[in-house]
Amino acid sequence: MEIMKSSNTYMQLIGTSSPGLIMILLDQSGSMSENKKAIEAAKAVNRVIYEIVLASRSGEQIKDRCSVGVIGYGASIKPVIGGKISEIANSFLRMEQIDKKVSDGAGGLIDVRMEMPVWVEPLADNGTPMAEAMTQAHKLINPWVNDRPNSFPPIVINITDGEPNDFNKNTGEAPQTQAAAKKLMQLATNDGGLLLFNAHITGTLISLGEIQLPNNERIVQDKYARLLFNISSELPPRLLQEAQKVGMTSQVGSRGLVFNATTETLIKLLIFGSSVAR
Amino acid sequence: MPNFEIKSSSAFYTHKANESPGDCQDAGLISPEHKRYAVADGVTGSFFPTEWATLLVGHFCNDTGSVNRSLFKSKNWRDWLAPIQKEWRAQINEKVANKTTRDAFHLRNSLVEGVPAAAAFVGLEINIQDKTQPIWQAMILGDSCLFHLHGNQLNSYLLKKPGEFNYHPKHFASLMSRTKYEPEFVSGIFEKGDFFVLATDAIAKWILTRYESGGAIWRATREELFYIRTLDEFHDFVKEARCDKETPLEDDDVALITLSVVESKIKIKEQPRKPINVSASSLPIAESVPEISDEDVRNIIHSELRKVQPSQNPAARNKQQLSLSILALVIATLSFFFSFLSMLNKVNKAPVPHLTAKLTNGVSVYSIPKEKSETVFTVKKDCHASLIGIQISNDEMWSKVQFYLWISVPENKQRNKNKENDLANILLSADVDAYDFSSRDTTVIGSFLPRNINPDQIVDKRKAHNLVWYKVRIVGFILTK
Repeated sequence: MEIMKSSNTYMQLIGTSSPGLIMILLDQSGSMSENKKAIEAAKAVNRVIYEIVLASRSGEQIKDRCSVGVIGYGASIKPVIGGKISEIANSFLRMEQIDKKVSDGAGGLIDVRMEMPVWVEPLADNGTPMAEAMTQAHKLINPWVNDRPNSFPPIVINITDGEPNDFNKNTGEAPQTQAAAKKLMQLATNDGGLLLFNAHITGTLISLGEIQLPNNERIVQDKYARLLFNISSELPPRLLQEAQKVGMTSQVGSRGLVFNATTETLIKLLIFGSSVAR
Repeated sequence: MPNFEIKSSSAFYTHKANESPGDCQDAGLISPEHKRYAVADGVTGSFFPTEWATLLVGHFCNDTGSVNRSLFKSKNWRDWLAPIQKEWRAQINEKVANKTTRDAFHLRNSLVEGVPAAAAFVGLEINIQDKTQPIWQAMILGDSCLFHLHGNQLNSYLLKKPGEFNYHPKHFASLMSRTKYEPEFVSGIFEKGDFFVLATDAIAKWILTRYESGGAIWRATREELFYIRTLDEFHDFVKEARCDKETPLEDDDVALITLSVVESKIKIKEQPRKPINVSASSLPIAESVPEISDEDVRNIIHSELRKVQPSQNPAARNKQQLSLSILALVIATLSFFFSFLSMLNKVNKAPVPHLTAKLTNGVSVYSIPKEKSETVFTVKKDCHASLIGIQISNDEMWSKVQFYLWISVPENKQRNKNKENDLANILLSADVDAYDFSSRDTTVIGSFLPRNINPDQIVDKRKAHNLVWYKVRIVGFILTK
């Protein structure tokens, strides 16, 4: 069933009286250990959660403008974190010290040390139960949309490095995954249907076969890419603008899909995908 | 010295509908004694924007140091900004040091990284000390706006059209190392009857949209803007604007200050150029001034006297007693005239005389003899009014006057038969010239504020050429002491 897209959908602003929801499905299968994909993906997710914390603050307080959830799938399906952003800000696993160079305002750079919380640890084990992860997401998000009919719809970002368990190389189909994805995309608020974005990552710095936000199935040759294309939501105008702001290639009709994506592209997708919370 | 002053609303501000009062990142402040008014719009997501916006407006309006006082002479905004940045930094350091919860990491990070607070800003100074043309001056940075309304025209600074508002405005940063935008200094002249509005982006954009719509939409908005007196009225105004079907106000923080340039209180206390003549005999009576019997006058005076409240304050009570003595004397004098004239009347069978007051250029007629009185009519040329009462408030003696004048409306502006509606719609946005119809050259006698016209003030209607003339009864108070 196609959710009707009218011109006044995806307009809601995220705020304390109509909070948003960002859910990340994180592939933690064995193959993620290659090319440090698990490490980079976890880093990217931790960073985006940090950005949402910054965007939710008002003075010294963190306002609950957004809820965030991360479900890892690999050896098992496990919610890694979930809850209101103010709670999440207090419940990180550990703190990492990182060094950063910042501008001194006079054309120079100075070294500063920052504390970056870790909410998601890298994990890589077993296969890719993507369908089950999407089903689990549906279970958690369904009551949320029922309770918040006027909020901006939930955004689900699926990060994976390969085909799901039920993928058939010959047919290019993954029946359970496709069904679970479609069911997920049927969840909706009054402001529009749930947005599902897919990020297929390589873990490399450069990727010649990278596809960013395609708007036509014919652009994607790979069978698996086509499958992901069909379970990726079209970007509403607001998010299209945000994608362009972070420098991604996009046009009207673009779907929220990046294929063979570098880590940098993954980060861009996460940033613009969570832009509604900022 | 110019005979007007600035009447200002409070600085009103409120939060986004979607959030709670503590989240408001706009600030506004008025300082009538320093003649300074300012609004600031803290950029959401910057570091402690509310504190920054509050410091900016507070410093601009109230700081008595020479750098702030001479800001418009020197235009040295960097020297002006530096101490405010220092103050912000001190406040934030303390707040962060005191925050020991687990989630305080983001505060320490932002301090260390040098993340600034950012705010758009409008600061206005009004100078009416000069003997020459009074001027206004403003320092503006970003998408907060200053509007100057002169008659029907709106001059907008710095943005001119709703489409110019975008999401990356310029701003003052709270750290010198992050200060990269320079404000603009603008200035202009102004006159009595003008208005100023200081507004942050959402409400500014909305006002400009309404102005572009023109017609009845703009007139209604203009009316509403300048009648906001209390916080409740402000909240109602914002709520209605957010719910407007055609031009809804975007959901954002709102800060708003409205200023009107009005007749000065000092002028009110000045005498009209010539003293009031209370003798009836030799004055030419204008055709349109009604006759009131002497008994009516006595009744009116007595009923006005009853309104005088005894004061609790001994000093005021003394003043009151003095005033009452004066009043008694006046009444006695008037009564003498009454009896004298009625004696004459019986003897000469002359037309019943009545008390008239000669009003001269510059005299204002007010709706009520109190501080926040509305001007009903401003006299431009000598005319005569009936004296129909006296009221004493504190140590001021106000005379209640009544007179009739004519106003005209072009015939093609008449839309329907209902004359009250015609006038209300047509005359709402402009001062209306009033004429002494009996004088053949229809000289303008004065200006009338049409928003104060009630339907029962219209007592006659005539057509002449392409104009429709309405005879309007004007009742109000003039200061006679």
